[in-house]
Amino acid sequence: MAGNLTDNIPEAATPAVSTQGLYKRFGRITALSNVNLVVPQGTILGLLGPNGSGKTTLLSILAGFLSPTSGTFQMLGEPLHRRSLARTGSLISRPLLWPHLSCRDNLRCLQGLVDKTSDPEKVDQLLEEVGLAGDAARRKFGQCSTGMRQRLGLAAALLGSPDLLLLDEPTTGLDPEGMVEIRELIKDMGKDGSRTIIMSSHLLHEVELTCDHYAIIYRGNLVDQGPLSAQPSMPTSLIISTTDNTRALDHLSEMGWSASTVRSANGTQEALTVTTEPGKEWMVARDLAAVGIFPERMSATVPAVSSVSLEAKYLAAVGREETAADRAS
Amino acid sequence: MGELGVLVRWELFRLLRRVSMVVLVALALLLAAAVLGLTLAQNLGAFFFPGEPGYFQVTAGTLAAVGPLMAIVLAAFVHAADLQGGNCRTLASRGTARSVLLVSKTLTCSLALLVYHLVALGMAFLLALFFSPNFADWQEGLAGVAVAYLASLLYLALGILLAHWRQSVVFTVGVGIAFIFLEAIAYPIAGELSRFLDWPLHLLTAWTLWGVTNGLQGDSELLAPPWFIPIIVAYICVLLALAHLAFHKFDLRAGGE
Repeated sequence: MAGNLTDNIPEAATPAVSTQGLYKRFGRITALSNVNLVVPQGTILGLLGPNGSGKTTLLSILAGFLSPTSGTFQMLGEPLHRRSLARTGSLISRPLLWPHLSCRDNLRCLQGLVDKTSDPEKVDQLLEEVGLAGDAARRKFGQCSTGMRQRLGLAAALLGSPDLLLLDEPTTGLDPEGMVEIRELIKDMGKDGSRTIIMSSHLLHEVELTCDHYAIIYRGNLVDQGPLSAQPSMPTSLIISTTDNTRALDHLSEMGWSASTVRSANGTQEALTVTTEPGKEWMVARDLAAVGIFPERMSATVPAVSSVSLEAKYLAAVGREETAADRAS
Repeated sequence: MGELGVLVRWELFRLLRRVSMVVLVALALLLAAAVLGLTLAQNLGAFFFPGEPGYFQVTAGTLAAVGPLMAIVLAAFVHAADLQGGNCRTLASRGTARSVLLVSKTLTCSLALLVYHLVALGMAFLLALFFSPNFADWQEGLAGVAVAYLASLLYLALGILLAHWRQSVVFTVGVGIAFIFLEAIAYPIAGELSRFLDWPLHLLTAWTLWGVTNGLQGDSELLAPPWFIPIIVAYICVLLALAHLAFHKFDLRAGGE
């Protein structure tokens, strides 16, 4: 069954990553079973699956940390090799850096391996990009919060501008705002199509907002893969009620948001409607908070068409596997 | 060489930033001073009076005997800690060959050990200058420290192999140091038993590991056979080759697993 999954992938140049009949066993446990994954170049692929389905094992094999029990794979057009690894940044499981060194020193330690110039300014630039500039850069890794560690791990993966990024649940441990920031960062990194990103997650919504391709892995089997349906970017309407709606309206209009005032049906309550792109709703709240206005109520009408679509795909693929497993047993 | 140089540079950087390493060096120097003090107290009343031949050699050899302990702890900090914490994974993530990683870690520890032995040599030299200004045994002392360094490298190789065994700092330090002390018990027994063997086999059994270390503490007779150095080198090569095999065979864990 897995062998036919590649039919969903459109014909293109050499894929950034392709695996053929990949198996990984840990003793009696089969973590991966006949995985045939194709990741087209320049895409952001969301690797979906429940906890323990084999996502991390697959990424660890691609990153060269684990050897497959059998099967082959190619990365960036060649079998796993030092050359392809040199062009691959990875953040698997959790950032594995030195707790007694500062964030900055941790990056400097790794910079020499990927960037012959070892320019310290590049390290500072990266730290700023992931939101760890200033005091945070001087903090010891062992004293950092989970979110800061995750950001530093991402910065380490980005050292030397790799062509391929392998990210294992990169938003784990981040607060909601941090999750959005990292998602935006990942989207930015892959937007010009020059870089391929494989990002594992068990959150459909996250994959929906960040990726343009998906693969579903369940109990070690790759059960579905393909492009996410190209959905028009449907705007979200936010309905916000604040302590000072007049000031809020002026400020949002000043900031370039498309905002207007609405009244409830009986005309007693006033609120604002703001039009945003999906996934950017938090920016409205951020802009209001910047001038001391805090929403009392906030709701959104989200066009959940594509989300339902991926959810349906996921449930169908997992359901098929469950049924097949039931029949087999 | 470029990649190796970068790795060694940053290994040293990380090593020197460990607070525990600074504490360890201080402890090693204290231990060395204590051992030296005891030896002085013991020998002042015997035949190694200050000014007598052999004084420099005794002090240099005594200080150098702390080397194997340092070697085990260095292997634990530089290699076992990185395996345990999963940092080796990070270092290998950009295609650095595991062999290069292993060589860089071995070189880093070797450099740190060399520094320790040079400091020990310097201390012995100053003591000899103070107590025995006309000492004439500097050649023997120097040779003793050189061989002590080689013996420390042997324990370093042992430590690196132990680091792979369980990928644990506590295991590496515990088993490594226990081994050094167990040798002290096993050596005389092995030495006696090996008398029944051919003479070269007897020497091989008796003069390796603890026999070597023991021989550095002033007994120049044990340093005499020139083929004793190749035996140590052979042991180092075997232990490092085993570590290399282990490093290549096993999956790189994420640490804490």
